[in-house]
Amino acid sequence: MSTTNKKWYDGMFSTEDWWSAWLGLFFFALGLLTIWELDAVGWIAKPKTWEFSNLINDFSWSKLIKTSSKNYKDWHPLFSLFFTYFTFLSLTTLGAYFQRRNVKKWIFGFTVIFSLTWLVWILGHEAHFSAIDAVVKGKNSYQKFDLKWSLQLGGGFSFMLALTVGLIIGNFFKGFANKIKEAAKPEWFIKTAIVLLGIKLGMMTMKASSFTYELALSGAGAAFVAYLLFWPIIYYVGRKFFKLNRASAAVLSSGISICGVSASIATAGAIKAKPLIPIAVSTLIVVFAMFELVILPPLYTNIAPNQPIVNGAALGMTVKTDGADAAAGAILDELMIAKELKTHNIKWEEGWILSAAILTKIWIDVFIGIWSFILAIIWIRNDKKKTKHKEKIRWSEIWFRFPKFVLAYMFVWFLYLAMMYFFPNIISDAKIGGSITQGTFRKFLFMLTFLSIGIITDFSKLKGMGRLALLYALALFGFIAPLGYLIAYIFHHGMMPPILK
Amino acid sequence: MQLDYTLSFTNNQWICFADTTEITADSLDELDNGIAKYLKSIYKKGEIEVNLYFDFDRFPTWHSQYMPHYFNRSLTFNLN
Repeated sequence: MSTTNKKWYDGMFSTEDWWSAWLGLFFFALGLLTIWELDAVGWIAKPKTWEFSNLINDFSWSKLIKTSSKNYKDWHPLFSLFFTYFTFLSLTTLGAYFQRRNVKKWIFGFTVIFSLTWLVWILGHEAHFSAIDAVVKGKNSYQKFDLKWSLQLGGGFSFMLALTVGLIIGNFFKGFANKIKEAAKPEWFIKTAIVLLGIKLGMMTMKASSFTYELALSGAGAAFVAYLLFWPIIYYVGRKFFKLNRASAAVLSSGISICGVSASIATAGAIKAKPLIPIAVSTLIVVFAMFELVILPPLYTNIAPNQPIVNGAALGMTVKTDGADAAAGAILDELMIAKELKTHNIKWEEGWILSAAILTKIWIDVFIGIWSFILAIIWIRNDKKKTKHKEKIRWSEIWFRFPKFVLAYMFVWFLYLAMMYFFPNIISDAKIGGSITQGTFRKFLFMLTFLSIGIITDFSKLKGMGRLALLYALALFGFIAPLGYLIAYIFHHGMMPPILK
Repeated sequence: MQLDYTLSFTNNQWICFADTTEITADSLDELDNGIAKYLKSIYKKGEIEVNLYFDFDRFPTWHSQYMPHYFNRSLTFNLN
């Protein structure tokens, strides 16, 4: 049995990319049912902020977990949690079956990952970690629990804790990690979450349309400029100073400077390199993405607390792989909002910083197919052939490399815009379900991503990478990160998220 | 005439699964020459377009979540 892409619809039911689109659209459609007064999403469990001594004195599950809408308020919190588990397990197992994964291993792996994710998510909501001493939506959790101290990290603490737990499993309990790895799919989870983020973008457009368009366009501009600067310079340095061959230099350039694993595979395919090259480079990218994810959000929060959108866009250009970028964007969003609230008592609307990180990355993802197509033509023209046959590059190569979840993301965004223009009277009802899907559903998928990304990151794989690892580290932190920040600043400076009153 | 073959990569060798025959080579250029020779032995003359579809199962399974496509090739061989 083989997996090839012949027809335009190949892979529609057998790749994580397409399944991100299907799953995201399914949740989106469920959310839309509130237009007809049917709440099909409010059952999803969400964690509540709790305080340790308060819980010990009078334990109740309802202090830890609640349903996402009042329509399900009579459900026991544990039943809501079980229903959430059952729904996600069923849908992802269906996807795993069509993707020809080992279903038994998937069910076991997903059950463990789900349980750990929830454990971490609840722990992360303990008030001493998350509560901020400020009034949000009429509440001050810090004062409500009469706290003497708190890290005041908001939701960011849960994300960082999930990542830490994942990394510990992936690096110190490798036997266990291998048993659950089948279900550790950060890209699938995050791409589904990004589709749901299309709802947020739709809502943001309603609130501040010109700002949203500006954000999208400046993201495209920044990504385009980054392509033209990053790639040729890394390629030149790789060839000139690290003596890499053409293929390795090209694959590494795409991996470091564009969008990580997907770009390195796309580029290697375009120039018809032996698969060994992108496989080696991919391992490097996944491990380095972890460093970027851990270092950059707190760094940007502290060195440029007054440039939230610039910081988000800079992450989009610097952090490789969609999963790590969105994860870093989510941490940055939480950390920056918490810091602004703590220092100036100003609450920025959540999601804008994350959207800046994701929009930039999405443009980069979209361009990779075109970039690979151009590279393929250049490579064929410059190749000194020892054969007489003719070779042509088919346009379908662009399509096969195009990230399909982006189509679903755009569809969701534009559908919200269409509703706004053509059926404005149904928007308020649509937003009831939409808020839950882009809120709790999306955040839960982010939590799954954080844990999974840690589980699949094995730092010991850096051993033996020598020259490639050195070039990667130098290029990333000495060149890509600072230049990426400069480009992000040029295109995004002055943009600020709306303030919640 | 148009033919669809599967392309693979194992043990540092490119492999073309042409009908019931496996053509192997160290480089793609050598593989193309092997395909040309094979086509000549079967079809003798004429112009043949060969589509080579890369089998993505050759990649470790965790790669597919990032990019599920490697490359397809479209080659035209003139056997005359």
